[in-house]
Order: sequence, then C-alpha cells, then structure tokens
Amino acid sequence: MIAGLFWMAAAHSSALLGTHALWRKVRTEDRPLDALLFLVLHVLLQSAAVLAAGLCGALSARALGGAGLVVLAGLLLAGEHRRVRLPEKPDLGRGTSVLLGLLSLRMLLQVWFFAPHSGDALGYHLPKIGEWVQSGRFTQEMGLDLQAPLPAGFELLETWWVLFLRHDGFIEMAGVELALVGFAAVRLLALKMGLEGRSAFLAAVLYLATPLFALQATACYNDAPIAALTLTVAAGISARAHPLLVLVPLAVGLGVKGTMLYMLPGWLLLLYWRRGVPWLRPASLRWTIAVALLSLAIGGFWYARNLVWFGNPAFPVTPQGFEWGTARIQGGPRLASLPANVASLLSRAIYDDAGPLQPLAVGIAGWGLVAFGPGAVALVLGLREDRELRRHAAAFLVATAGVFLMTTPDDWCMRFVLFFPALLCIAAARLAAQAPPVALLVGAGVALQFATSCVPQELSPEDMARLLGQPWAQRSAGPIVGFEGVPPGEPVAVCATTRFPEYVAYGPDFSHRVLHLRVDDAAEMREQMVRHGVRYVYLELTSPRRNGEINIMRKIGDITRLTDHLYRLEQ
Amino acid sequence: MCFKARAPSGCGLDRSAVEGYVAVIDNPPQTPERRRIPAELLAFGALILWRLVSIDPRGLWRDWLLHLAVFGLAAALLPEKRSRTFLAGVWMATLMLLYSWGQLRWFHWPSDYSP
Repeated sequence: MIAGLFWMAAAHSSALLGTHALWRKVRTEDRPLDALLFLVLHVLLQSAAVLAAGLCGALSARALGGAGLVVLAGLLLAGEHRRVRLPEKPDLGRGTSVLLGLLSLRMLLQVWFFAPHSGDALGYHLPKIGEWVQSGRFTQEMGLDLQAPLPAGFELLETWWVLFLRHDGFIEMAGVELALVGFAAVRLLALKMGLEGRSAFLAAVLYLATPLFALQATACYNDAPIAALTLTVAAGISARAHPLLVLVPLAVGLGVKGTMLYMLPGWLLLLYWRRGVPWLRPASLRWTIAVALLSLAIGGFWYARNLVWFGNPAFPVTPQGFEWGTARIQGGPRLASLPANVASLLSRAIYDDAGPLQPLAVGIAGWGLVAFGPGAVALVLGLREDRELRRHAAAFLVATAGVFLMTTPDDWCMRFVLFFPALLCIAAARLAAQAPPVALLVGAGVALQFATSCVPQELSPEDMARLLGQPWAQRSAGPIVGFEGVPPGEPVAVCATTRFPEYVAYGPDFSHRVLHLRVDDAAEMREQMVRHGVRYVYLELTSPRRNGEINIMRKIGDITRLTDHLYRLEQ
Repeated sequence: MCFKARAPSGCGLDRSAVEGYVAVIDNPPQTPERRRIPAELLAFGALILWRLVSIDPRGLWRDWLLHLAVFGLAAALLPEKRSRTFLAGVWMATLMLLYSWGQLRWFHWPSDYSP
C-alpha cells in the first residue's frame, strides 16, 4: 500500500505538472476558458498515459508511477514548477460557496463510502478494468456482456484511479474529475450568455447539484462524463475557442461513448451563430495541433480496435442496431424515435416520479426540482429578454432532438440528454441574480434536491447499511448481489447469458482471477472449471434450463449453493 | 455579440473587468418589442392547444409544459417586468409543489421494487 501511494503521488504530480506545461502552450488568455481547458487537458493526459501503458503491457503501478517519476523529474529540471501560478480566489458569494462546499464534501464521502454497485457498471463497464489490472495490459477478454466492446474512454480514467493502489476504493474519482469539467463548462457557458461572475458560479453549482448528474458522478457511469464533455464543446464554441481546442473534448467524448456525436447538430448551430466573432487563438498553434491529434488518437482508438478485431468500428452496433435482452441500441436516425422520446420526457420522465432516483435513471430524467420549477420558468422568461439565451436554448433543443432521433425510446434513454438541465440551471441563476425572492426559491429547491439525492435509491437502506458496514479495504457490492464468502485469492468462474454484475467477482482489490465461461450446459461448465482448477462459480440463473441443471448437480452433491448466485464445486 | 473595439456607445455590458472576459454582449435586458408579442401569443397558444388535445384531461392539472405555456402567455401579456418576475415566482413555487407531490411516493422505498 505504501509503495502504491508513492507511485500514485508521483504519477499524479507528473500529470498535474505535465498538464500545466501543456496548458501554457495552448491557453487563450480567456481565464474561464483556460480553467476549463486545464481540466480537460488533465483528463486527456491521464487517459493517454493509461492507453499507452495498456498497449505496451506496462499497466502496473510501478511502470506507470516510474514513468511519472521520470516525467516529473524532467519537468522539475526544466523549471516548470516555477511557472505555476495559483488561481485567484474565486468570488462565489456566500450561499454558492456553502452549497459548493456541501456538494464537494458529499461527493468525497460518496467516493469513500460507495463501491461500484449499479447494474450496467458492474455488468459491462468495469469487468474490462478487472482484466486490464490483472493482466497489466489491454486484453481481448472483456467479460461476458455483449456490450463490453463499446468504447471505453472513461474506463481509462477509472483505471488510472485503481491502478496504483490495486484497489477500486477511489474509482469514483474518475467521475468526480469529469464533474469538475462539467462545472467549469457550465460556468463558461453562463458567462458567455452574459451572466455575471457570481451568477455563473451559481449556475455551475446548480448543475453540479442536478440529481442524476450528481449520482452518476460517483456511480461509474459514463453519461455524466458525456454531459460534461458535450457542455465543454458547447462552451468552447460559445467562447469562440479555436476549433482545434473544441475538437479535444469532442474527440475524448467520442472515445467515452458514441452518443457524443448525437448532440453535434445543436453545437453546429451555435457555431453558425458565432461565425462573426473571431476565434481566440491558442498560445501555440503547433502544440494545439499536437493536442488535437492526441485527443483524436484517444477517442478513435476504440473504433480502430473494433474495426481490427471485429471488422466493424461500432461493434457490437450494426447499421441494423443492437438488441440483447432489454438493451436496445438504434443503428441510425429514426424519425419515429423523436416524438416518442419527446412524449416520454414530457409526459413522464420530467416529473422524476416514475421510479426511484438512481444512476441508471429508469423511467425518470433526474433533472431535479430546480430544473423543473425555477429553471424552466426562468428560461421561459429569459427567452423573451435575452437573445444570447434564445440562441443557446435553440442550440440545446436541436442537440436534444439529435439525441432523441438517434435513441431507441426506452425507460433509460433520458440519461443521454443529461446536458440539457445545464441550460435550465443557467436560466435559474440568471433570474436569481435579478430577483432575490427567486434566489430564495432556488435555494429551497436545491436544498430539497440535495437532501433527496445523497444516496441512490436503487440501494435499499439495508443494502446501504451492508455497504457502509464493511471495512474500506473489503468494501464491495458483492454481498448485495450474492457474491460473498469466497476466500481471498481464490479464482472464480463466472457464467451468464444476460447482464450480470460480474465485476464483483474480481473483488475490490482484484485478487480473484476470473474465468469467463462461455458454455452450453452445466456439464461443460463443470469440465472447464475442473480443467482450470476453479472451485467457485458465480452464476446467472434466469435460464430455466441452466437452473434445472444446477439443481440436479446440487442433488447429486457435485455442487454446493453458497448464495442465490454463488456455488462451490465439490468434486 | 460585438467586440469592445467595434462596439457603438451603449452597446451593452462591458465585462472586460470580470473574469478576463473581453467581449461585450450586445443584448442588454430589454422588454420585447411590441411586434414580437403576437408571435409569442401564437407560440404559447399553440403549445397550450397541443397539450389540451394530446393529454388525458385528468392529467392536465399536472402537465409541466402546459403550466409553462400558460405562464409564457401570461408573461407576454403583462406590461411590466416587475409583475412578470412576481408571476414567475408564483409559477416556480407552484411547479416546485407539483414536483414535490410526485416525489412523495418515493419517500419510502416501495416494497415491490428491487434494483
């Protein structure tokens, strides 16, 4: 653990100082834009480091930390540390400062007390991280879930946060980093829409308090990061950042999730309206080209990999789409999806009352009270008075329409438009600055919103107590999903044909080697387990046939049931 | 939007002192021109009509977009900015109550819900 902390400190210091060095070369002298640029470059460098290490087979604390140490030494010798200027103390206003402090504290507590627990994250986002960390390189084995080959840009950042300690205790910090990007992006957007400094900060804090955004930030989901990156694109265009700088968050976002592309029509409209204003030139165009190329490499890597491995860059999505169990991905634009999604949002999801508030947002939009009430009313009022707000609102609407055109109407598609409440938060902050009673209403709304979104409601109080009751080093959602009692270091087989929380099988410290079984029946499963010397199997039993076979094995004493899903081979 | 160097006098709000922002926004808060009001009435009227014909009448009282459209219509008809802001406060409070009402059902975890 001590060595891990040392390598972690070295790598983080080099990433921060390296970001600073790069940032000096591409900054624009527009301070809010430069602040956002710094955060995006930091994400870019961390992702680049993990990508390079994964490709070279150097995905270990020692290799990455050692490389970080060398880079850090070089930067220190070059005197980069002497060029660091701490940012001025921002003028937030008392109320906004308190709210930001509370939100930050809550986020850090969530990072500490939560373990990855939500369905899609455990099913297909995170198992590949388990494989990478155990193998020290990128692997073709990514888990049993058919959606595992989708782009994994966000997983690069998550890997950065688990690699040094070889533990997923801080994995949620990846989401927190992107939440910071979202915060800075909304602040910049608000400033460019004409809000004063304090109001822009209020808008950014309100967005950070948006229930779904806040919950996703610490749930290992990539929709909040996509919202943050797409808002960065919009803010960059609004601020007239150089197109190469706008390309950076766009490319990084494409590597996180393909949905990033769906919002582009809206931002192109914004670009059209900004066409008369000259671009802000970066300090060095040559360095900016290099940064843009790096971001393209990071974002495009997954599509190139899928083209080489599967013959289709968008694998597993084909032009006909993708369907597996309840997961359905549309293969292209479909006109019928637009009105269906609009109706779903307006008649049900916007009220957030069709299901519990949780990161997957089943049946809800998760935009929260402030967006629903003060934000929406302030937007209607603001549209009458402010041309900039009108133009931005039109761009946001077109971006939303783009997503709705490209997305299958289902219960959980509203998380793809998580960027939209940023506009409502900006409108609310704008009106709150003009009318103190409105500020009071916004304050009351955000207080209620804060109180109701501390814990994802997919976890029952009993589940939450089980999570919190574990020591930090052993904290895992395993006991909640029927995975507990496997001795440390013991290999585990996983067998599933639908989405299954297979990530918990690795253990929070990645100590369990995982054998992914792609078998036809229980006899083949048993044979493979014996061949690989694996005694424990974590089983998905929704198939009646497999359930029946396992029951027969139990009766003849071949296998012992430990939990609903965990079994031990006896002979 | 226009830049400070090109800005005519009274172009808008100079933000050069704030956050290093060099541009000047060419859209000072202003009451909409009279000729825009019929367009607003038409737009909000159409929205209201759409909601009235497409929503189950029993659910109209809680329809978010209908509330917003009625507010937009009322705000377009009010001459003073101050009275519009007051009306906005009333509408915000109403919508907040509406949202909170819907949330009450999730205040206790439902017994039939499993993640």
